[in-house]
Amino acid sequence: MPKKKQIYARPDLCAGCRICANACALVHRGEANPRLGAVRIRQNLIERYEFQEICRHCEDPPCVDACMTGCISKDPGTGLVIQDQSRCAGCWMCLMVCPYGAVGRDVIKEVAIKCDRCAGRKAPACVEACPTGALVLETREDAAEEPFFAEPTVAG
Amino acid sequence: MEYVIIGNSAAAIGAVESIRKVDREGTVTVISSEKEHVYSRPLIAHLVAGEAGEDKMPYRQADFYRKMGVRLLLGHKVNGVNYEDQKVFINGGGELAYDRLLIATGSKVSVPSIPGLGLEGVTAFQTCAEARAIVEMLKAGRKKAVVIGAGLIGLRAAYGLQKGGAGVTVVEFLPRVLSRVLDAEGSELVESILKKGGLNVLTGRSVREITGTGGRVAGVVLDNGEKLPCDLVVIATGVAPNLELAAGLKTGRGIVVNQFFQTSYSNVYAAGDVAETMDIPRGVPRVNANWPNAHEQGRVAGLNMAGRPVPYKGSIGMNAVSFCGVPVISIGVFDPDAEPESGYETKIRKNPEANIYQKLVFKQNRLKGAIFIGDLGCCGAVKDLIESQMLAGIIKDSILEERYQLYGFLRKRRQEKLEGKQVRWPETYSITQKYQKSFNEETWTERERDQRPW
Ligand SMILES: Cc1cc2nc3c(=O)[nH]c(=O)nc-3n(C[C@H](O)[C@H](O)[C@H](O)COP(=O)(O)OP(=O)(O)OC[C@H]3O[C@@H](n4cnc5c(N)ncnc54)[C@H](O)[C@@H]3O)c2cc1C
Ligand code: SF4
Ligand code: SF4
Repeated sequence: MPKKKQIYARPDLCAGCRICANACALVHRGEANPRLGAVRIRQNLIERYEFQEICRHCEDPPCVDACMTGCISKDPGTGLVIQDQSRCAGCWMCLMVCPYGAVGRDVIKEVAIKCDRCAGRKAPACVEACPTGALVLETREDAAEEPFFAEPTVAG
Repeated sequence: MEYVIIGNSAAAIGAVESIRKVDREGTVTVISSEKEHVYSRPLIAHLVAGEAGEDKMPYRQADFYRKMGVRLLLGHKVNGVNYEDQKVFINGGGELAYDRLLIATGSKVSVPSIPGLGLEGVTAFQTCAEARAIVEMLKAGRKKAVVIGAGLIGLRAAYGLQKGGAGVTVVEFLPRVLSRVLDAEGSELVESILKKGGLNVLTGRSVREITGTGGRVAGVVLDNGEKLPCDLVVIATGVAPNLELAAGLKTGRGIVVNQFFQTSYSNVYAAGDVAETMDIPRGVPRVNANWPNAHEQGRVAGLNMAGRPVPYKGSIGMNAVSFCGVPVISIGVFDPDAEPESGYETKIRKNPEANIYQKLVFKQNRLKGAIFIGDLGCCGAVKDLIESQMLAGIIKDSILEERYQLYGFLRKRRQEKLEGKQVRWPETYSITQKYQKSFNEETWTERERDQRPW
């Protein structure tokens, strides 16, 4: 199967501005609230450290195993892991098992928020919006050649 | 190839899907004693609560079995299996030959021995049929319920009944709620949340007798002689692996399987709540009964049945629930006091006013378990760390604080996972003393400049 385009995160370029999260929430929910976006920025302001959490659309997604209502499924055609939010029961099983911390919690509707890689759009909203190029959509044939995550900028 | 699967829930569905990924020719037969199309078992509490309608119950779409080419025998109980002749005996006379058999019969309710269990209005809380019966009883005007047992299922039943309009009292024999999911402090917090939510919880009390009038429940009598009038009783005193069909197979607490889910007969597999698998944090076989494990085990067992050997990495006991909007997650070894071994170390962060309680359990610098209440923090990453059992001494102090070391660790870990690259860890990685940040200001700025393109 040919490799599909993926969203790659480059934490070293992330400025922690959360424009991606706002864009995501705006496109999917109609309001610019970074807490309702499917990208989350983990940030430590004192130590200056940013880190994006975004769905990898895994090969064998643990969230599909975990989802007890069956509302998360992997599309065999596109390879995308899609959630049907209308059936979500807010049990947070998926949140517990995702190794990338990619599932968010919509505390207003009590449902999980998960990336659908903007299935209907040309390019994902977050990638379009990121001003520093810290989120990119591309196909990487040999992922090892270009490190996906750069080394941390502080020794350790 | 004749595949026969006994059971029709998480594990069975996982197996059907993965068998069909590998083998589109063989015949797959699913037999279950329940009559329903596969439904989400944990959701029955939401059904009683009226939050999820019947349309939300199915776990897979209506045409799932047809698409997968599955022969369905619903409402048929399997009475026994002859493992030597490879035959399954179905209640009512039929028999079925198999080449590969999967036992996914799940858990059964363990019922205490108290008088009055046969009365009308006393029910367990395990199946969709039982949940529907409870909904009917609520509709018929029953308003007072007693739930026996304050485990996960008991509290979920109580939640459903309360939302469904009944006044609920939960009676728990042990001194605290959720004793198999949380430690003492976490239980206390959850209990206070529940009480604030209007639930009546009696701990350290047991039910001596269920009384009735005219064959119908009228109340329960507690061990101290107190009488609680009620018209509905839910028994939720725990579940145990359903070993009905295990005669002839090697069993512990559940059916013993190897890492390919084979039982003592190599063409008989077991997965889900019935199977006893390797517990990753403890390193001993254990029944870890929950939905994610059941589906994953079914999926891996299915691949193995269809002839693609895939070893299973082991299971972790874990649970996620919400009480009154406060999320509660517990993973692995959550309470060192309840473990037979010693040598555990814990890290705690809490704020009871904000309903926050977080706890990590380490042993020899490996993360063994965690509790998250209120604030879920990086719980996915924590679960990943428990699963991989890698040394995590260096980030012990920073996980709950979400400090730099944690983010650095996560980045390396993800890089490793996604690219299959082995990232070498510095020696300091496993030392026990507090992490010291040591870097040379000059080289650091050099590197900064190199890496940032502007
Ligand atoms: C009220 C409730 C709430 C829960 N909440 C959660 C939760 O929030 N999170 C979580 O992780 N887990 C939860 N669980 C546990 C979860 O439902 C189980 O771990 C999961 O269903 C296990 O799936 P399984 O396929 O192993 O077996 P089961 O779901 O137990 O299914 C076994 C099936 O086999 C059939 N069967 C058994 N014996 C025979 C026989 N002899 N012949 C034919 N058929 C047979 C049964 O009818 C049943 O359909 C909850 C359970 C309950 C009851
Ligand atoms: S939500 Fe997490 S587990 Fe699920 S596909 Fe995305 S990265 Fe993988
Ligand atoms: S929170 Fe929603 S999407 Fe996640 S496992 Fe539960 S039902 Fe599925």
